[in-house]
Formats: sequence, structure tokens, C-alpha cells
Amino acid sequence: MLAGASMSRRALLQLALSTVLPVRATAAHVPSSARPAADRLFISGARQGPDDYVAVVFDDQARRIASIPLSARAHGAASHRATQQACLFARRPGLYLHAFDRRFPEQYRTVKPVDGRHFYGHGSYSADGALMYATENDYDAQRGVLGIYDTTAGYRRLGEMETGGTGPHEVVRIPGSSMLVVANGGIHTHPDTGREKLNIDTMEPSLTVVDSRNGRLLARHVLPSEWHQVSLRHLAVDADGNVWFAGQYEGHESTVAGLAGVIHIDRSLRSFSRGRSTKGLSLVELPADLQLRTSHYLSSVAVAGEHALFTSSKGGLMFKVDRVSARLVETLSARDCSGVSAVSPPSGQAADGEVSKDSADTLTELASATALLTSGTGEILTVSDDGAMSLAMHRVQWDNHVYAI
Amino acid sequence: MPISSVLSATLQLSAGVRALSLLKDRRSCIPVLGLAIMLPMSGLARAAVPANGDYAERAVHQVYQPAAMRFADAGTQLLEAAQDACTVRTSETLENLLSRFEVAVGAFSALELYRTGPLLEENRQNRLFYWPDKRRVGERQMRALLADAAERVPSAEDIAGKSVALQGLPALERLLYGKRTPLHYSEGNAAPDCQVAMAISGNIHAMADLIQKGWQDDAAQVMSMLEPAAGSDYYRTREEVLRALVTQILVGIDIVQDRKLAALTGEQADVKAGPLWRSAQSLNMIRNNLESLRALSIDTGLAEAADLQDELAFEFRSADGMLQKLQALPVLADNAGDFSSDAESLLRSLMAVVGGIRYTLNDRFVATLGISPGFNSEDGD
Repeated sequence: MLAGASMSRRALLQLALSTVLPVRATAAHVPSSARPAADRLFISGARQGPDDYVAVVFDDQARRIASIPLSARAHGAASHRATQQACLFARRPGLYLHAFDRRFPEQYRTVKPVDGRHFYGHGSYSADGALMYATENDYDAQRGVLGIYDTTAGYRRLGEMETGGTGPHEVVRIPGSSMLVVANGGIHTHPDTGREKLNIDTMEPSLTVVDSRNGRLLARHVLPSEWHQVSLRHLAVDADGNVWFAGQYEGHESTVAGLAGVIHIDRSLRSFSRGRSTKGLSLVELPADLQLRTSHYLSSVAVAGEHALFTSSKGGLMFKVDRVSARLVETLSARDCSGVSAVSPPSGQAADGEVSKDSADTLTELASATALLTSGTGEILTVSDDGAMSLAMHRVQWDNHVYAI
Repeated sequence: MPISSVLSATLQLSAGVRALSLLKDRRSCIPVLGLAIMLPMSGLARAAVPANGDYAERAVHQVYQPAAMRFADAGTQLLEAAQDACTVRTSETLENLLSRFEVAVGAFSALELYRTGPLLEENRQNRLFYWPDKRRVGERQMRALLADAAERVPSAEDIAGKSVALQGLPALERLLYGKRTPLHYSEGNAAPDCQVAMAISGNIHAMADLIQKGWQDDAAQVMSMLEPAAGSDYYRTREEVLRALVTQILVGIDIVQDRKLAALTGEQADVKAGPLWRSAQSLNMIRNNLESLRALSIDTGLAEAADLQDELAFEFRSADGMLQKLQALPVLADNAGDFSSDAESLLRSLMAVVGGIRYTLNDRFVATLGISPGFNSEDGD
């Protein structure tokens, strides 16, 4: 439900509907004549040393383009190619987001959370790029919200809408629509207790679909009650508009369901009744030994071509799942890998200008590569049907996520 | 016990260790395998690390530079042999070319896992050794290249601008040992395959030369490794150098076991799943890979600092002994590619020994050097 902090509900609705309006020029939008070519760029947070964090922008050959010192560890990012905008989010409890022109990442605008909120580390743009939605914690009320930011007015916060769950982590938009899919991790935290998880025994994660135009809840999935401790955290949209998710298990069983899966939006919407969708959720069946190797912890997910790619930093591995059959295809070993990003955009996302985590063209040298993988070792690898191959080794330790911007 | 069970057993070992951690604290569980390392965050366990940076000096002068020099020399000899074979086509010159190819494979394998600096610059590692090539990109590209070469002979520089699958050792192997493009059956000194082999050899030679130059004392990365300084693009502290060295060792042993040995011991394993199987160089590669990791962990003094010198030396020696026995087998595999029972048995043992090395490195080596394992694996979100 909308809670306009500084704008009426009607005005907000009008703005959210303004998908055909041109984006207003602001100080953050640099004249195109001054912009260098920058087709294939990636961004990742990184650690250089104790309490020394940076955001690094690199190209498809893993060459460092920019390195931006950070006051605190970063987490996710989002971008909107048509308007050249991008955002980098602080890791929870996040106290900043940096908004910048993707070609000039060193010139950024810092946005702080409003009182009573902190960022969770991820966000997504509206189809026209005029709005940006950030997952946030209304920590006193223990509810998840999407902060709504006007990118054409210096990322002024217009208001917020509920995510339909606690601890929202990643949010993605279904290309060509106003639907936002949110992974509500289900875990409540409070700034007074840092990153401590306060409700593990009672946590209730969910995947929700929210209409960004009015905040309406359009669909909501929860796992069977015995798996309520699988925190659903990371998302990636495929070319068919289905959303793949990756979870992290907080319980003690040796095998678990729901670590990885996909929601089919149409069926999820159609079967939504009384606060819950009864169809549209498919789980990926992961063998017990693979679950053990991952310690039931999946770090990130991306869609590349015909596969959904899941990383597990704890297992030092990435595994591929066939998008059609939702079956495990293969597992690749890569120590401390976590960040994964496609190098080619799913067709739907390229069409409306949003690229989020799935963007860029094929690599010049490794034309068969479909994804990039980043590791805490400092290594950047390419992923193709031939496996994972080293592209570069940097002295930094790449943080949890990498995004094409 | 089938060979695949060995990998499974190794994983179960890892899982078993994990299970112990789970008993202690489920949420802070850190698997033994699949970890990265990070900078020491406290001074608690740094005492074992040579404080004067001697390990870096030894790494440069006793490990990296000799390995790079060996590969550069091998590259030079490879190019000369290719030129000889294309100039005077005799069985001797062709045999010499095959021999130089195998020497080059060994020399490359001895620095392949030193994944830093000059090997990774300009994508040299992948250009030198594009493997595995499951989709047979190299085969398709080579057919096209040979067809083009009939019209215009490519130079080494031309090769450097082509697909990575055409630039390095696997591409050259395809020419020297492949059935469809048998260099030694071609007629005429100006045969396209001979000229292409020469161009690829020239490209390998050029890259080997640049790698050797990149490890010289006056190279920026080497100077930084020996004298790290704030503001350096490479290393700012000795801890960063240490982390880079240990990362190479840990990632290296992962690659040997998870990619190369696993290709020979998995469910569908046969000799053709191994790297450079046409020239029967899989075992040569693995042997040199392991020797390079032995050198980086022991010759640098790091194993001694961790009080694991004797133990690691024994384990590496055991692995090398098994590889020698494998290489000495009269029959490694049948024509279909299936390993003989003796080979299968030795590969199974080798997998277990390499698993043991990996366990030692991941567990005690890292811990005794005072390096905290994991970054993403330890603190994700």
C-alpha cells in the first residue's frame, strides 16, 4: 500500500504511469556529446584491505575502468541503459545509495535512507527509468517496503509501497511491465542489533509480485511450512519473463527444498487468491551431495541464454540449470565465487532499455562466453558451454554481486 | 570401487568436516573446500609468516622467473623446430617438432597455475590453453583457417588476432596430431598446415617471451611484489603479496583436482576427456602443474613457515610417483579411450593423494600462516 512521504497518492500514480514521458534532463544526466562509448560495463563492490571498500567498474575484458572509494561495503546494483543511469546500494543495513551515469561512475550522487528506514542492498528501475525502487526496511514496524525515488529530480524519495513481507532483499522488474518481483527474505533485523537475525524461528519468506503503479499485491508465493527457514533472497528474470530465485537455508536439516526455483508470472497472477498464489512456483531439485557442498547457501543467480546460473560461495561452485526443464545441467568449481552476471541481455530486457543484471554484448575475445563470474580470490572468470575460464586476477576481493550496467 | 567414487569420497570427506562444523555452529559453518582467503584481519596468527618478505623474493627468483624462462626457451625451440620442419620436411625435423611441442606443453604447465600478472595480461592464459573445448570450436575454426591459409598464409601476428581457440597449444596439437589435418602427411614444404603450425608456434613463442619479460626484476608487478607500497597498482602491503601467493596455491590445487583429474576420473571418464589427449600430454600437464604448486608452496619457504614442509613434500612426492607410474604403463587406455585397470587404479590413488594435498593446504597451511579463509563464503548476504 502506498504511503507517500512527500507526494500525494494521485501524483505518485501519475508519475508511475508516465512510462511514455521523456526523462527530464538533470544534473546527473551528462550531455551525450561528452560521453565516451561504453557498451559493456560491469560493476562490483570489492574489498581492498581491512575496512577498505571500493566499487569497481570494469569492461568485458575485466579491465578496471574506475575505482570508487566507499564509506561502507557495497552490495547490489541496478541500471537503466536507455537513460544511462545506474545505482549502487550499500550492504544491509545500508545507509547509502550512489546514483550515477553509468559512464561516469566517479561522479555520483549519494542518497541516504529516510528516518526509520535502511537499504537492503538491491533495487530496480521503472521501464522508462524515471523511477527507481529500492528494497528498504521499516524496522520498527518490521515490514519490508520499496522506496520510490524520482531519478529525474536527484533521486528525491517520493514515497514507498509495501513488499508484502519482511526483509525484502532483491527486487526485479518484469521487462515491458510495471510488475516488480520481490524476494522477501523473511528475516527481521534492526539497526540497533546490526546484522543479527532476530526471528529465525518464526521467519516467513515469500516471493511477491507488486504493481509498481499502485502498490497492489498481485501474487505471493511461500514455501511449504517445513521449509520456512529458506530465506529467499536473490532473483533474475529470464527472456520469457519468468523469475529465478536463490535461497539461503537458516535451519538444521541436511536436505531442504526451495533453495532454487522459478516462478512463472502468469500462473502466479491467475492463481492468486486470499493472499497466496497456488500455482506458478517450480523448485529445482538439487541432489543431496550438492546441497551439502553449498552448505544450503546460494549466493547469487543470473540468467544467461538457456540457463539459470546459481553460485554458492560456501561451496566454491556455480551450477547451471536448464531454463525449460528446471533440471541441473552441470556444476563448475570456482573458489569463493559469488557474483554472476550474464553478458548478453535476454531479449525482453534489451527491448525496453532496462538491463539490470543481464546486459552487454558478447565478449570480444571469448565470444562463446555467456556469463561473468567474480570471486573473493580476486579472479574474474568467463562462463561458457566449455566451462569456467580465468579472465583476470585483481588484487581486490570481489564482493557478493556483479552487475552489468 | 569405481574411480568416480574417489571424487565422491573426497566430497564426502569435505562434507564430513562440514558436518563437524555444523555440530559446533550451523550458521558460522565454513566448508573446508571451496574457500577463498582474505587478508589477516588480526595479528593473532601472523607470527609464522616470514616478516621480511623473504617468501616474495624466493617466489620471484626461485619460482616465477625460472618457470617463465623455461617456457620462453621452450617457445623459442618450438618455433625453430616448426621453421625447420616447414623448411626441410624430413622425419627427423617432424619428430623434433613433436618433441619440442611436448617440451613446450611441460613448460607451460609449470607456470599455468601462476595465475597472476603476465600470464593473465592480454588474456594469454586462455590464448595459450583454451580447454576444455567441449563444443569443438577449435576444430571448426581450424578448418576455416586452413581453407583461408591456402589463399593467404597467416603470420604469427594474424594468429594473435584470431579466436583464442586457434592461438595456443591445443590448436597446434590439432595440427600436429589430428587425423584430419596431419601435418606430417602433407606434401610440399609450403603446405598450408605447415605454415599455420609455424604461425601458431610463432604466436606461442611471442606470448612466452612477453610472459618472461613480465617476470623480470624491472617489471612493475615484480618490483611491487618485492617492495609493496601504498598507492601501488599491484601490491600495497606484504600481506597482499602473501594473499596472492597463497591464493594461487589454493586455486591451483582446485584446478588440478576439480578440472583436470576429475576429467579423467568422473563417471564418463576416458582418456579423451583429458587435456591435450591427442598428444598424450594429460599426465605431463598434471605432473608439471603439481610440481609448480610444490615449488610455490615449498621453495618459497611458506610451507616451512607453516611447519608443513616435510608433510607437503611427502604428499607431492607421492603424487609425482603415481604420475610417473602412470606414464610408465605400457597401456594407459584402449583404442576406445577406456583406461586399463592398472591406470584406473593409479588414477584413483592419485585422486586421493591430491585430495590429501588439498586438505592439508586448505586446512593447516592456511590456518598456520594466519590467513582467514573466505570472503564471500564467510560473509555473504
